[in-house]
Amino acid sequence: MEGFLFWFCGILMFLGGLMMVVQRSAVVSAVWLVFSFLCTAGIFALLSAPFLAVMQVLVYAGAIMVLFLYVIMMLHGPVLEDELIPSNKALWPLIAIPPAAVVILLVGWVKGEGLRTMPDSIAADFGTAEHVAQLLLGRYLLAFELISIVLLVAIIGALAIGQRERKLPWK
Amino acid sequence: MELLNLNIPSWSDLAYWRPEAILCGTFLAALLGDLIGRGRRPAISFVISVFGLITAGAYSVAAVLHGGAAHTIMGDLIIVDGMAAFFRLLFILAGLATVLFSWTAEEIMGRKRENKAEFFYLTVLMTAAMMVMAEARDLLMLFLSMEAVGLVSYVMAGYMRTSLRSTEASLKYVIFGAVSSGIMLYGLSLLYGMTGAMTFDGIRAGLLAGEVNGLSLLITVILILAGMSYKIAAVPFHFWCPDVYEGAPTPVAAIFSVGPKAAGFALMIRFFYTTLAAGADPSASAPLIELINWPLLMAVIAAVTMTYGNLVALRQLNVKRMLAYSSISHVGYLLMGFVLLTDAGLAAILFYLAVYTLMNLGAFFVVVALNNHIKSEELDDYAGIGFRAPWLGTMMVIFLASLTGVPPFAGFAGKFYVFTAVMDRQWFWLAILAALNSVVGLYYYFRVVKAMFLTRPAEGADTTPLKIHWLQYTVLAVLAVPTLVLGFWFGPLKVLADQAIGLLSTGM
Repeated sequence: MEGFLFWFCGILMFLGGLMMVVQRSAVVSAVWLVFSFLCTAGIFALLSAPFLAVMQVLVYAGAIMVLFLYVIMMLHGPVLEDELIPSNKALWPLIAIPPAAVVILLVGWVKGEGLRTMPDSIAADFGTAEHVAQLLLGRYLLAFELISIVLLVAIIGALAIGQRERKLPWK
Repeated sequence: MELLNLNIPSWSDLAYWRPEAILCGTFLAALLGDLIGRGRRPAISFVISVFGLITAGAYSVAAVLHGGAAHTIMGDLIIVDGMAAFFRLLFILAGLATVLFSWTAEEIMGRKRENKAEFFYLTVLMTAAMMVMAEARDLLMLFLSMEAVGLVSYVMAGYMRTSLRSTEASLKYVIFGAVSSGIMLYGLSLLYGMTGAMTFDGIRAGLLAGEVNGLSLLITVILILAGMSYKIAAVPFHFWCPDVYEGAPTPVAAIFSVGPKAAGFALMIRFFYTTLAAGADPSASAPLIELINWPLLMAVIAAVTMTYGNLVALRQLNVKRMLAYSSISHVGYLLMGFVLLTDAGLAAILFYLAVYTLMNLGAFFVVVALNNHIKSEELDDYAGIGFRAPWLGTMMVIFLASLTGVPPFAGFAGKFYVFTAVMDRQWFWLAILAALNSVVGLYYYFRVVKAMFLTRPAEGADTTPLKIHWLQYTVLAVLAVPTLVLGFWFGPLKVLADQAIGLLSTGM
């Protein structure tokens, strides 16, 4: 059952990602991305990480994507014209070869040797909010602080690049 | 249960991390200073940045003088060892030189520019993030520090946001960066799947446990290399490099050409050396390297990178673009030290990086100084400029000769060590190719010298002497003197580089 759910979520997640990339309308792309995120949440749940699964739905599929959709609609999200999509169909197999090769090699590898499987028994509080918090503010505190700096730079960058021409009073 | 044995961080560890902490504080203080000055007093941020960089530099020098036992900080996320100390000094030198020089650069401080202070505090933060790149010992810190440097770079490349060129450069940088980060992340997740570990030591132990198949490890390594090659601009992930250098303001291009590149090399040295090569038992590592045929892989990347960079540089008429391609070819020379993952090769990389930082920053700064006056980077506009600014011209000759690698300049010593490291293990074809490439370099570097000193300016062109700011002369002299001296008195730097690498293998 678990195996079936894994492949179910995994394949749907992949298809969601693929659909997101090939859409012409940015709004439809964003909705496919939400779909893909929901399937990712399913995989987290299968991995005994309920807290991450909930956060994935709440934060990514919920808050962030709603904001995305809102911004796209506000800016009248672009719909790609036909000529922007490469019309030369002969190129498609060429583009598909490298990813396909990687996938085939990986499948062979998994079948041959097997990935490391999850340990048989995991701690009772594995994947709970307390456990995640202990890791985040304990062992990975430094990484946590580094993320805050990365986000601060991203905000400064967005403001600096995105701001309108400043209207100075003496101009 | 193992996961629950938490390493609750001990704050006393952070004493070894003073330079990074000071730089982060400097960044925040300079940001606040800019706010207090309402964006119209860049001098506040400038002074805070210079002061912070000097303080962090003093602490880094003190750490080197107090001897270099390796300290891990916060569990195993970060290590401060000899190599980290070496790169700290390098990054602070590059950051400080860039901040000081930019104070008089028209492209940053010109009358029409907005957000001038932004450049200074972003440079400070970039310096701090690059230091973390050189210290990371965990996949999480590796990725986060790379993203931190990347994000700062994207903003700085788009600094002149009213200029189409600069905006285009920034956008190209972002898109290439996102793609290569994604590829690398995929590789890192495969590595985690194979070994079940996030720390470099854990990965190494997992790989040596012997359940790894060569092909899957090769795919993983190539995916990870893709992300890192982007940072150092090695072929085939170099496409962003010339466009970004040309579009970004020249002082930004100057620090891009040395800082993130050196940081990328530091990261690659620590990551690949720790996971694939050395360790307590060197003989145990040989199978891993052979399993994926690492030497041939790196030799081919190095050969293609240096040849491509040099051949395309030949045709460039814009000095900034020419320097961009020349920096790609230098990455090729540097990668030669990676072919064997031996201590000698890696020490040669460190030595070369130090020399390269001096000479490449210098060459870019001369371009900045000239751009202040002639508002151009085209080779044709450089005609006869050597007689209008003789000292500036002389320094440019020093930097370019050193970049070419002719004795008695520092570039020669750097190339010498890299070449010997490769020839020690009978990789003669690579050494010969690199020597031929140096000859090609001679042609395009000296085309600039020829334009500056041997070409007559066009009829009626301005021939008045150029007035160069004293601060610019000072910074250039600080870069030019070591470029000359290190050409024949390179012992101390070589010892420092050897020690840094020696500690890397024993400090684990």
